[in-house]
Amino acid sequence: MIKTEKVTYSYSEETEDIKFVLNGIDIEIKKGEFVAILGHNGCGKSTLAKLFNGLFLPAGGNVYVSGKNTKSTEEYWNIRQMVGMVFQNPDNQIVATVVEEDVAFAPENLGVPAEEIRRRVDDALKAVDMYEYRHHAPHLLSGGQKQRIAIAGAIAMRPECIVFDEPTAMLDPKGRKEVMAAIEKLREEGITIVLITHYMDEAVKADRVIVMDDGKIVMEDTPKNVFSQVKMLKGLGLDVPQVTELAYLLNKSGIPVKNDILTVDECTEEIMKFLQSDKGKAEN
Amino acid sequence: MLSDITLGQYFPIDSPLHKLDPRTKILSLIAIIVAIFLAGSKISYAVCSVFILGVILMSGVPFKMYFKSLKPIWFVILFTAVLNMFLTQGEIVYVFGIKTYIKYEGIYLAIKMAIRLVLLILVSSALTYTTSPIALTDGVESLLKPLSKIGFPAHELAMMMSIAIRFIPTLIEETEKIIKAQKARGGGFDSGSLIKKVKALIPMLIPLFVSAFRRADDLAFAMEARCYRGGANRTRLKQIHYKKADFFAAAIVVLFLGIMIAISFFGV
Amino acid sequence: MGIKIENLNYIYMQGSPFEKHALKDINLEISDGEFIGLIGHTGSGKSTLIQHLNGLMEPTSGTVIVDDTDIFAKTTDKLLVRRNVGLVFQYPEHQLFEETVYKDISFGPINLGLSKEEIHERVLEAMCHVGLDESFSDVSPFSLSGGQKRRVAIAGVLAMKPSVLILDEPTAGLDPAGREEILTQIKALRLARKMTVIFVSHSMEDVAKIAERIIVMNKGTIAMDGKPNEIFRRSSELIEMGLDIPQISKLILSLRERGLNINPDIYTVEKARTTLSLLISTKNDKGGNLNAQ
Repeated sequence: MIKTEKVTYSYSEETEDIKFVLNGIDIEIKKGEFVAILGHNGCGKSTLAKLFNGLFLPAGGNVYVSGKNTKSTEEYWNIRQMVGMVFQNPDNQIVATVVEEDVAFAPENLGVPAEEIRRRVDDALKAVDMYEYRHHAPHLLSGGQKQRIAIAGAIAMRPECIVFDEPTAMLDPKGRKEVMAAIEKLREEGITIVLITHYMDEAVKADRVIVMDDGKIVMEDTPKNVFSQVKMLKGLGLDVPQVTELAYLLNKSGIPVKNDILTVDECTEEIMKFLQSDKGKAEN
Repeated sequence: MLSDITLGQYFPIDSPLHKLDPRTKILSLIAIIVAIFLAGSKISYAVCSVFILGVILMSGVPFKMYFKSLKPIWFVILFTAVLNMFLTQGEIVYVFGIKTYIKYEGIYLAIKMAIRLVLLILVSSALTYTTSPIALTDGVESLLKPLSKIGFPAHELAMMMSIAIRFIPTLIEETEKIIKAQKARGGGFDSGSLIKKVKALIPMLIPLFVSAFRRADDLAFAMEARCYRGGANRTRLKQIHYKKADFFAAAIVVLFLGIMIAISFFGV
Repeated sequence: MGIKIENLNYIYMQGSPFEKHALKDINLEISDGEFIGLIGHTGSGKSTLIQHLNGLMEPTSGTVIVDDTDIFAKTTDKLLVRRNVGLVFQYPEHQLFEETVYKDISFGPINLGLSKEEIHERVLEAMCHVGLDESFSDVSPFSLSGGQKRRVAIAGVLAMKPSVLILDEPTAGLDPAGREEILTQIKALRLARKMTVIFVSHSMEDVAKIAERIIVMNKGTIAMDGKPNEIFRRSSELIEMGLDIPQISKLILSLRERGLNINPDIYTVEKARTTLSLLISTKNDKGGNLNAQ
């Protein structure tokens, strides 16, 4: 779906003493995959996101979307249509004063006929569970609702992939849950998802986690394998889920629990195994 | 509170006027304004007033709202009326101090001008009350479209209008927040001399500009990511179509304008 | 001394169709030097409440007494109230406006009408408290990173030397390292200045890390008020209110549901570790060597 080859990027135009925000990124994201990208602020992950749909073009190397180079001018709009984006600030990505008009924005730009736009808008709003709000003014909605409208706005392009750039960073817990539910629903429908986040409990849901530091990829593996590296993640200024940290600490105290625990349920099972199997043995 | 200022003042109900095409309403407004300026005689004023009363009734918007729309300009109406009363030449009705007279013509003109202003505002309010800002921008864009052939940026203008309307509530909220934050640091916005007051605005205006630029930057990315590339080949979710009612409404307005022209032409 | 909130009511846009009873009969006492975590979901009234504490919002009825002064009395000087109760808004970096960090931080002290020397002293002290050294003085705040900007903004309030510091979501939008840094600084600050801190957040994990008393707001009322262990013990009620609870609390809840007799007061990773390793090792001693299985 998306492939980057030795991608570099810099915000400064100077040729001497150039500082690269991205420094040799090689990523391949498969169709239908859910990839989470982690890294502290300023590590280059938002820049990378903007390279995925050609909002930025690489200084060195190439980015391919479905085999098409983002640098080719003929494919410019096809690439943006294929890779939708949802940004961090819910207020700054809503264009229109009525919800359904906003969702219609992308198909309108693409020159889709009116009846088809209507169908897409309705489908997209239903997909994020915001259909009943279609005539509302966006500025009166909650953060989570606004973000779901932004998602609907991206879905209405009928993209194959959606890149989420910290979509929950400005939301409260309820809004975060709503947005994550919408993302998981899209994943079930086979849409490729790239999620940039600071929340580890969101990243554990991904198929693959990529950790970035200083413009480079430093870790890339399944959530279980990435998060079990508690010490390394902390060193990179990142967090791990509390239960993962607990498992890590119990291990350090000499209790051999699995160290790749990610969820509360897994942790409960693991701890009960230690306490129950033992109890069972004692009763025998 | 700042958020009490509502732009466009759209009054969302269902009325025959709400259903009309925005273009019909914009063109009708222009025609009616012309008609109001044509009015000269008492009869023509009466015709105008009756017609606009009809428009108000058709809009289904309560009278109270129309009174509200007049509120901010009562002073202007009164002021022009007073000026007209004193400065017009004619038959003296009342002597008011030295060399200040109220004349019959003055009173007549003052009343006429006041009615004219009131009518203008009422009929313009009828447009904004019955047409959502989005429909209004769409109407303006569609009417100006022929001009884009000679390079007039009709689409861009409409886009700017609608984005401005979209961000007004956001920026008002932001302004309130910044004012509070600076007040929490002991900043004052409501005391002191004029110079002090102007100076006190700086801590509010700079963050507001910074934030507006940041938002503009974000919005530009968001729009580009959603394939925005100007007005070329753009379709719309809501096509605006002239319906039967629009022709009917246009016919009535044309008839009205015709009557007004006739009245002023024949000097009735 | 301290803060006393008496029968505080706030009705938003009274008499209009948008009328909303945002605060309902709030009664609360906060003693000097307390470290309070104020939690509640968006719209629970927590932001409205904190804006009453320094007189930015006027109550519909009831009052707030800070250090024996009724802050809404006609004779009370609002400037003094705002000096006493410092409020750091959410995303405070958006209020920066001066050319340099130094000038921006001095905005508050200048408004208080202090002498030049006093201002200088306060600005440097405030910068030190948020971990910005003197080299930042002449830097433009707009050239700093997000986390640094936020610290400049917090310093701007600290320079007023308030006896009560209120922070509204100070960690919102920061990365984990940035969050940790702010939390550590707030803790240190409170020890150094001995001030009352009210920390508003919807991140339960952050609140669990630092607060000594937690106040939970729901629908304009105070739903819970107590020590962290007392609050997190009622985790199912918190979830019902639409709040998130620390993952460790969830784990304890789930273990208890499975019939494990474990102290429901546990809410931090450290405490869970010690308790669980103790539980497991005592089991081991009774039931033979687990590792040998």
